Amino acid sequence: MSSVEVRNLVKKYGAFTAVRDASFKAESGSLISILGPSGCGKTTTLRTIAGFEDITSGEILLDDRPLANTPPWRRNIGIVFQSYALFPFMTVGANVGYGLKMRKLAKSDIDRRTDEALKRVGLPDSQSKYPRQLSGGQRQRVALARALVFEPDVMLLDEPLSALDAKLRDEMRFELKRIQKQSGVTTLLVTHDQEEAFTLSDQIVVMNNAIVKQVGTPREIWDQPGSAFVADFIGVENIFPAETVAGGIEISGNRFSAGSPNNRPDPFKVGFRSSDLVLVDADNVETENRITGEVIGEAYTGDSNVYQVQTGLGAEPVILKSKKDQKLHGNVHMRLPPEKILVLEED
Amino acid sequence: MLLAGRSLSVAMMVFGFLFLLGPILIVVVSSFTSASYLTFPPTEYSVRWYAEVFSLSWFTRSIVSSFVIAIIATAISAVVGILVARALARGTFKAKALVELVVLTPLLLPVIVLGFALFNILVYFALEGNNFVNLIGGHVLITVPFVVRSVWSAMAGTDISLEEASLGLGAPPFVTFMNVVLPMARPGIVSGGILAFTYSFNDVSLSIFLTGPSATTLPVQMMSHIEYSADPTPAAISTIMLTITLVIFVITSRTVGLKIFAEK
Repeated sequence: MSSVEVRNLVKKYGAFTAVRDASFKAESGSLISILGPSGCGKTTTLRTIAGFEDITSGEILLDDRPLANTPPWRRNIGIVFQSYALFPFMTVGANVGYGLKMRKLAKSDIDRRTDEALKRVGLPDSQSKYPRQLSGGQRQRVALARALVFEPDVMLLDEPLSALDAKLRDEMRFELKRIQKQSGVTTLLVTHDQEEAFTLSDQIVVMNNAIVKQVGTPREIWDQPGSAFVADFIGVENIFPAETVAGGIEISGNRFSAGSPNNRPDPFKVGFRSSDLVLVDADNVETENRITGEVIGEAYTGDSNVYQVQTGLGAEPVILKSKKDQKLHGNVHMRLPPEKILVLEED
Repeated sequence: MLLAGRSLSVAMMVFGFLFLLGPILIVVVSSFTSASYLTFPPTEYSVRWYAEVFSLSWFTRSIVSSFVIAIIATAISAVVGILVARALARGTFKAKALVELVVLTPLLLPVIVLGFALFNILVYFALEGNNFVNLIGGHVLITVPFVVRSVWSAMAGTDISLEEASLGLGAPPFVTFMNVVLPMARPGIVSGGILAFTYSFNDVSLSIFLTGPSATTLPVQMMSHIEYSADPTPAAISTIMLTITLVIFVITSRTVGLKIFAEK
């Protein structure tokens, strides 16, 4: 097991920059996700770590040892591809044993370790099957076994769950976590699915437009998204431009009291979650941080009602989440608790 | 209406089969005549022309050299074709379009033009006497495009992450090529190889410029036989060749399957 560090990584294709000055570190034995929309440079970053792409500048360090001049076949990195990339003309056993065979292990050792690896991913006795005889979830398990059997220093996963249907995805998410914890291998996962990143990771690297926007634990990213992009991407529904005024902030001329003005970038935006808004009665005397508006749209999500409320904060309606049995119409009054206001860097 | 459409398509199919196979059937049937000229249907049946075929001095010699030439030419074409196809499928070099054009030109050019040009070059370098080598070289030239085309499409259709998976698992590029790239291209290699072999074995227009006293091929010998004789031996030879083709076809279908001809 090893730590992986990416330092000031730049990858250019001609005039196009796919990754711009990315830095982050995955501690030994941890699981780190690169989260971002498609085309943000996350897969390119993964491929440079695997060695399939040269780097334009910067460094990739495996336990403080630079990887730049090591070709992929000497990196000892296990990779699970989005398409799984199982060899269709080989049996499951041969697929899993391939990495061991390349490492010139004795036949009996290869067989024993292949059996162990398949058992570990929950597919014992499938050595003689062919990949086409397996379901999507089983193929995924074989791909995991193949990537782990030779005890790699690092495992890379490219959108590992995207090819599975929703139910199987939930199941495999737990499996993936279990297998990663059990093997203790340092794992780097690339995904566009924030839920996947939040549930699996020790650390999340959020990327957009070739740039690392934020690095942090899931909790840190959830509680303190640093920029409007990150907030939007992790599902903060309400984001408005704001400015600092005496004693607080102002959104389109509406004054709010907010936390300390220190470290407030300029210009900045504020964000707040639909679930953090508190409904208040129209005759409530407390007027601080009050938002008033008219319901213009609603949707049921099963356990709550979601409303679009047109307010004075901007042209975009405010999104408000209420409890299942709470029906709203006409004018509504909401309070925005100061501690729930997220200060965001503009992108 | 549906029924009418159905019987129409059945009729079309029957007509198609007749059109394709009719002439061949006529040759096969008339090869069993006892007369010393071709008739259809024969008035009397015999196998005397088959006996005649095997007594011809040139038959055994030319069928053997045809086989040897076709096998060697196919083997060389396969190796060259696989390498070129690999470069075209995965390479990112500037002259790609040029290579593609050069490799596929023999398919577009009338073979007789190619043969004439080749013959002139050989005469210029005083090499026209090396019939065996010349025939192999010429056949490689005209069969490489078949291999390139079918192997290229097999390789282009292969998910590149399979190769990357192999590299990532510790297999250097050459090992990856042998372990993953070649097996994935196998259907293309087999079908390209069979096409190349058949084309080489049947060719007249190119071979006619390259044959000579030291080596000749069966189709060329048949052509010259037909020129001065109207006896049914060519029909008997055709039937023998047809049988050989059928046997190869059956073996292929039993081992690698016929899908390789239908795919892509």
